[in-house]
Amino acid sequence: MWSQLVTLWRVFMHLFDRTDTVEYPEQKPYLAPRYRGRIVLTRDPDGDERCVACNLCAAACPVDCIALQKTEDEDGRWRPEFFRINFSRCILCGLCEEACPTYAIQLTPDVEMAEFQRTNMVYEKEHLLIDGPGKYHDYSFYRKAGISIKGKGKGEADNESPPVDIRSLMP
Amino acid sequence: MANIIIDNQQYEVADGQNLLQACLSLKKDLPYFCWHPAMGSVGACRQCAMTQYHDENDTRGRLIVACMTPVTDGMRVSMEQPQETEFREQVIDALMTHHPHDCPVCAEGGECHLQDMTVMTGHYKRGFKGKKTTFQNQQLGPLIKHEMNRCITCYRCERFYKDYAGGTDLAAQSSRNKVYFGRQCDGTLESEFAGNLVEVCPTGVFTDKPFGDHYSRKWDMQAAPSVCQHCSTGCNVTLSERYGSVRRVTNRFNDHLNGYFLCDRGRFGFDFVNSEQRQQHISLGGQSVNWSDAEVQQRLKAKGTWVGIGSSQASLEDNFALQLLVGAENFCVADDPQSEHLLELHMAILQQWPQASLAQMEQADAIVIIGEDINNSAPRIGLAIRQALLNNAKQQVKNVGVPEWQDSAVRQVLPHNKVPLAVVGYQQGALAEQATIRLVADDKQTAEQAFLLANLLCEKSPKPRVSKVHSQIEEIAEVLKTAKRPLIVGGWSANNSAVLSAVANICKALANPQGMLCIAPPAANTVGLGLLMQAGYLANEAVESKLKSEECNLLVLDHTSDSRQQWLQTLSKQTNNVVCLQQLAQGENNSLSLPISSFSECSGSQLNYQGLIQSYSPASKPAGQCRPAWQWLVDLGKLQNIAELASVEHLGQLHLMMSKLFPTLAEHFTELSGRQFAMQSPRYSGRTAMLANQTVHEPKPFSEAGAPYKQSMEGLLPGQNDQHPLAYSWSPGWNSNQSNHKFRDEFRGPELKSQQGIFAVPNHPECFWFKWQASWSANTKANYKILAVEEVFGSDSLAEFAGAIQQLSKSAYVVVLPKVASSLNIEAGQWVTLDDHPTLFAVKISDHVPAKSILLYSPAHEAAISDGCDEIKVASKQKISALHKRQQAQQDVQSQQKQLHKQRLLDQDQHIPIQFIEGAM
Repeated sequence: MWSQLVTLWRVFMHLFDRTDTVEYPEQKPYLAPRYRGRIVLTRDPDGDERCVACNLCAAACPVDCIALQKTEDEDGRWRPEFFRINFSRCILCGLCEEACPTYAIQLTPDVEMAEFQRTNMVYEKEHLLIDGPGKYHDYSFYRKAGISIKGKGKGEADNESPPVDIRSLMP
Repeated sequence: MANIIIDNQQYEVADGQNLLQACLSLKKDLPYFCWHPAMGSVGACRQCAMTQYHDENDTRGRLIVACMTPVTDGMRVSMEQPQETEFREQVIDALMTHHPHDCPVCAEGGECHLQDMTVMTGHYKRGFKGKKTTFQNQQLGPLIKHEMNRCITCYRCERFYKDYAGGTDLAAQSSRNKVYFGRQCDGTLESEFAGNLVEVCPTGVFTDKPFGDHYSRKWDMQAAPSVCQHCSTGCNVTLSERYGSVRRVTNRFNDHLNGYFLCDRGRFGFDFVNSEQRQQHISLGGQSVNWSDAEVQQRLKAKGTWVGIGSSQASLEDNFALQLLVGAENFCVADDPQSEHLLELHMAILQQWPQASLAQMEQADAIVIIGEDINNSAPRIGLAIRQALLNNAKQQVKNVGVPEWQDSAVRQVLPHNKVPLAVVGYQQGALAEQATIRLVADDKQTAEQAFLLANLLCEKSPKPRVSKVHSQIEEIAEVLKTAKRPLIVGGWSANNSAVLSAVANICKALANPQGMLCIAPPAANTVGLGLLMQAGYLANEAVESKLKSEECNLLVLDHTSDSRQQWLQTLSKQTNNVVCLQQLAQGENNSLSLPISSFSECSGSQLNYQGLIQSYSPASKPAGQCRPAWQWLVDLGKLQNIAELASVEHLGQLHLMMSKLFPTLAEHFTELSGRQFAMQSPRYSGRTAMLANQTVHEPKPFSEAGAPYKQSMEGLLPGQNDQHPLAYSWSPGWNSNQSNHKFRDEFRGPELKSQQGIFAVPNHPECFWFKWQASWSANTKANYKILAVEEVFGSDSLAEFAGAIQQLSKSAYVVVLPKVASSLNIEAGQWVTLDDHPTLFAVKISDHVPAKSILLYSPAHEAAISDGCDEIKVASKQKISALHKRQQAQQDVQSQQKQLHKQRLLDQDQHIPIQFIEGAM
C-alpha cells in the first residue's frame, strides 16, 4: 500500500519536470557525435581517401547492404572502385564502423533520411565521401602499413627500420 | 594401427605417420606452418609443439614438436595444457615480430593461414617494442606478386619450388633475421609451377597477380567445383566468381589427380572466359543478328545433310547433342586423318590397359618416357613423375628406421639412390635433363626402338624389320625386368601412331600386374570424343568428298586451334552454309556463329586421359546471348524436327540418353538426393547492395534444374555431404585452403586407396600385340626432318586467350645440332627462316637433337609447318627489324589490352547481367 502511494506521488511529481520532447522538425533534438546515423566515408589527415577496400565492413554488415570492389591506384594505394550502401536495408547498427581498420567508415548523428523512392536510398561513393577525417583526426593507415605507396618507400612507415641489404656480410 | 592418448582421451590412429598428421586427421586444431602434407616435415617453425609424457604418473612431460614425432603405440601426449599452449603463443609472437600492419591491404587476408593460426593460439599483442625489419620486393613476372615484409621464414616456398617442383631460381638468401626468399635478381619465375607458391605460402608474401588486379575476398566469392580445361589430366579446380565475372582458379584437392598442386597453365589460363574475344551475340558474316531473323532461320533450316564436327575442347554433353542432331554417320571427330587414327588407336589401348592415376605414378620405381614431352603436354603429370624419383631414397631411409616424411633425410640420401628414369625421343624439358638413361631419336626411330624394347622383354612381341638395338634400350630392358612398379609414359606429342602402339606393346611384354601406363592425349576432352566415336563416326577424309558430292551443311563445335581454323577454311569453299558454335570469335568468314557459354558458365562433363568422367558446375551466369552449346543444338533439333533431341528440356534428360548408350556413365549421372550445396560462403557480403544501382528488388537465387549446387548462401556447407565435391574449402577457424584436413585424412598410408569415380571406357582383359606397319618406315625426303615440340605456355590455344599466359608465351624457335649450326654458320639467338615459310625462328643449339632433324616450336596461333624443310637461312635484316617492330607493337598492344581488360572488368562489376537472374524485374 505504502509503495503504491509512493509511486503515485512520483508520477505526480513528474508533471513538474522539464519535457524532453521537442517540436521536431521546427526544433532539432541534440544528438551526440557518436550517435549512429547516416554513414560517411572519411579522408585521412592528408586529404586522401581512407577506405582501402578491405571489405571488412561488408563482411560485418548483418543485412549485407554494403557492396564494393577493390582497385589499385597508380600510386600503389588500394581504393574502392565503387562503394555502395543500400540505406533502404541499413539498420544503422554501427558494426561496419567497428570493423573498419582504417577509421574510414563512420556513422554520423544525421538521421534525417526519408525518401519516397527506395532507389534514392542507394548511396554511391560520391554521396558517401566527405572532405574531413570525421571523428578521428590524426590516423593515417598508410603511415602504419608495410606496403610502399607513392611518397612512402619500404622502411619509411612508423616504427620501421630501413630495408635490409641482403647482400651484406656485416653482422 | 596405434593407440595414442591425447589429453587423456584415447584414439586409434594409423601407423607410420607423425603426430601432427594424426592430430589433424582427428580434426583437432593444432597450429602449424612449415609442415605440408605433400612435402613432409622439417621442423623449422616449432609451431606444432605438444607435451609428451612418459606414463600416467608423469605430470611434467617434455615439449616435443608434433610434426617430427612419429606416432607410437601407447604414446601419451597433451595439446591443451598451459605449458604447450603458452609455448605456441610465444612462437607466434616471435614469428610476428616483424610482420607488417598489412592485413587490410593484403590479398591473402581472409584466407591467410597466419591469421588463422594467430587467432588459434590467442596471440593478440606484439611483445617486442623495437623497429620492424623491412625488405625490398622483387618483380617476379606477370603471375606472382612479391611482398617480402610479410615473410615468417617457414621455408615452405623454397621447399616447394626447389625440392618439390625442381625449380632453380628461387632460394633462401642471407641469414638470421634478414633471411630473404627470392630470385638472384628481378625476373619472371621460370618454373611452370610457380603459381602454387600462392597457396603454399602461409601468408601474403607470394600472391596471385592477375587476381590482385581484379580482387575479391575469399568469403565474398561464389565458388564452383570445376575441372581444368588446359590439358588431358583433368585437374580438379575451384572457380571463384564475384559480380558476374570469374576471378580466379584455385586447387581443389583430389587424392589421385592433382593433389595439392596445379600448373600455371591451369591456374592462370582460365582467364580466356573473360577475354575481349568472347562472342556474346549471334553473328552472321561478322554482323550481329537475331535468332528470329529470316536469314538466320533459313540457314538453320537449310535442306540437305548436316555434317557435324565435334570438338575435344567442348563437353561430352555438347558433343553428344551434336552427334544426336546430325546422326553418328555424319559426325566427324578429328581435324586431320592422323589425329583420327591416333584417337582410334588410343581408344583401343585404353580398352586394354587402365591408365595410372597421378598418385599411382608417384609410387613408380622405374620410369620410361617414350616419345612424349610430358612436362609440356601435361605438366601436372610431369610433376607427379618427379615425385616418383624420390622413391628409392625414401626406401633407403626407411631401411635405417627413419620415417619417409623426414624430408631432409630423404633429400640427403637422394643423390645416391636415384630412381631410373629413361627418356627415349627428341623431347627436351626438365625431366629429360634428369634422365638416368637418355636416347635421342626422332619419332620413327623412337617407335622402332620401343618396338625392339618390347621384343627384348618378350620374344613374342612383333619386331620392325630394322636394325640394331641401341645400348640404352638394352639398359632400359634390364631396368624394367627388375622393377616392381614400372611406369611407361607415352602420348600424342610425337603425332605418331607407331609410338602409341609401341607403348602398348611394352606394357603387354612386361606382363607385370603392378606395371603402369600413361598415355597423354592433347586436349581436355579428347577421350570423350573417342568414347562417342564408338557409336560411329564420319571419317575425316570423307568429309570433303561428302561436301563435294552432295548438298551439305556444316555444323562446327568450337575449337580454338589453328589447324581447325585452316581446315574450316578449306571446307567452307565446298559449302555455303557453315554454322559455328563458338565461345571465342575467331576468323572472319561467311559463317553463322552462335555464342556458347564457357565451362565457367554451364554444367558439363569431360573424360580425362584415364577415361575418368568428371563434371564441372557453373560459377557464373552466361552474359549476352551466350547459352550452353547443347541448348542451341536442342533448338536446332526443334527446327529440324529431330524428335529425340527436340524433347530435351534439361541436362538430366541428355544424361539419361547418354547413359542408355554408354551404360557405364549411368552411375556418374545420378540425381542429387537431399539438399543442394551453397556456392556462397556463410559470410558472403553485399547481397542487398550489389544490384541496388540497377534494381532495389532482390532476385531469387539461381540454380540449374537438378544440379547439386545452388548460387546462394543457403544450402549445405562444406563437409555436410560427401557425395559431391566441395564447392570451396572452409571450416570454422580454418579460412585458408589448409582447411582441407577437416574433410579428409592428412595421412596417405603405404597402401593407396583406390581411385573414386567412373571410368567411361570399360577394360577388356584380353589384349593383343600391335603389329609394326610398313608405312611407318617411310622417310621424309627433305634435308631436315621437322620435329614439333611443345611449350607449357603457347601450345594450348585456349590458354592463349588469357592475358597473363599470353605475356609468357615464347616466340617460335628451332633447335639444331652444333654440327649443323657450324656448317650453316648460324649462332644461338640468331633469327632464321625455313624454306619460304614466312615465320622467323630463333635458333637454339643443343646436343640432344636427332641427326638430320631440327626441333621446332611454333605457338598455337601461328600456322603449323609441314614435316620437312630443305634450307635453313639466316633471316634478312629487313625481316628481323620488321619482326622486332611487330614484337614491340605486340607488347604495346598487350600492355594496353591489359589496362583495358582491367578497366572493362571493373566497369562490368557494376552492371551484373540481371536479365539472366530468375525473379529479377
